[in-house]
Amino acid sequence: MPVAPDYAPSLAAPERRRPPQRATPKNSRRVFFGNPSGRTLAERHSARRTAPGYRACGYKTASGRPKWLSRDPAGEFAAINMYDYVGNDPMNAFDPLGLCDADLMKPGKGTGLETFNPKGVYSVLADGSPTSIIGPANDSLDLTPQQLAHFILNQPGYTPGAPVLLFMCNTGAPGGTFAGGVSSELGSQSGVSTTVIAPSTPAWFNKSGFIGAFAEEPWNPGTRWNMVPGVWNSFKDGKLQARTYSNDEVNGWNQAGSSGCN
Amino acid sequence: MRKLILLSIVLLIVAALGVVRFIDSDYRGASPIAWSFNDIRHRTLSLEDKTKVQIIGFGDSGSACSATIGTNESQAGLACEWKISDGKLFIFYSKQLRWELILLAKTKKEFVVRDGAGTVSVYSQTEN
Repeated sequence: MPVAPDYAPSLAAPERRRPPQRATPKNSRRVFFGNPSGRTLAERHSARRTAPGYRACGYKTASGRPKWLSRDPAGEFAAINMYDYVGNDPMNAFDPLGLCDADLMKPGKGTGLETFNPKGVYSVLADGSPTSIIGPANDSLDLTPQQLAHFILNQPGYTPGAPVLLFMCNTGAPGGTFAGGVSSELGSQSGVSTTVIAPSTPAWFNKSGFIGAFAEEPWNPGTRWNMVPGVWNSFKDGKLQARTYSNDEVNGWNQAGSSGCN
Repeated sequence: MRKLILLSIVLLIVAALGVVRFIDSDYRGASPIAWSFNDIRHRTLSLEDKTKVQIIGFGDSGSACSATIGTNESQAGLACEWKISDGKLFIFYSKQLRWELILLAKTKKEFVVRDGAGTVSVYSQTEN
């Protein structure tokens, strides 16, 4: 049974303070009789803690483009210009700590994924299902296994043949076809057999960077990591392999990684 | 006579409280508004809740949407499909209907919706 680790200190900037709101007959009445949303007017209209996707960025330019105050911690691996933020293309990728840009999740999804950086495998993050995933940027279009394989092979940090970890819900379900399809496509497009590892269940992450495949339905989530653990299945040349990986093994890779995607 | 006046005052106060309570009671009398694609196009809907997390992202076109579901502590990202039918917004995961959202009110910042179980929720909306 996995143990819930302590949460890392929040990387979010302190909440912007708003001037105190004077009690008016309207909001006094709402407070007295109860607010339908359960929040005060000040809470309802307060600014977000951080701009979506720019959680750890130093500052933004006058045009709104995020910039780092210091070098990208991924070093030369990420880009030649280490002061860029996701290749100056924040609409198509987000990179909360500047460690990895093989991330197809939408900006603002990063709770807990700031430290997701497994070592020894090439990790790709996306919203997933047994048969499809959501593509990058804001188009919200399905990506096929063929398209994802093409995307991975075109990433500068990926070496053909290196194992790939899909952090995408249910993509490794035995009855699903997505992870198997990606392994088949990676093999056929690169000419090298490639192992693809993907969760058999929904893939969860928490604030401290602990990730895991857990069988609980996301629509009825527990408040602690006491859900039934799933496994990470492996696929090669389109076929389900006997070797499976536990959440602890996958998190072992994650803890080992501190720079870069590989 | 004095008792009658006091009783009348009490009844008036109770009636006034009831009216105010009804107005504030989660849009109970609101008529549904039909969803349109323009309501969700390129938008992210975030449930306003202290513990639950539901963030649904829509794109320019297509029928796919992303959904981050969970609690403040743990979350999962899902690839879902959406459909508008009879003015209602339906969201599916793995071919199974997960949400049926009926729009009750909308502003530039928020949607007030009622789900299939009758629960009224507020989603803030931001442009992607």
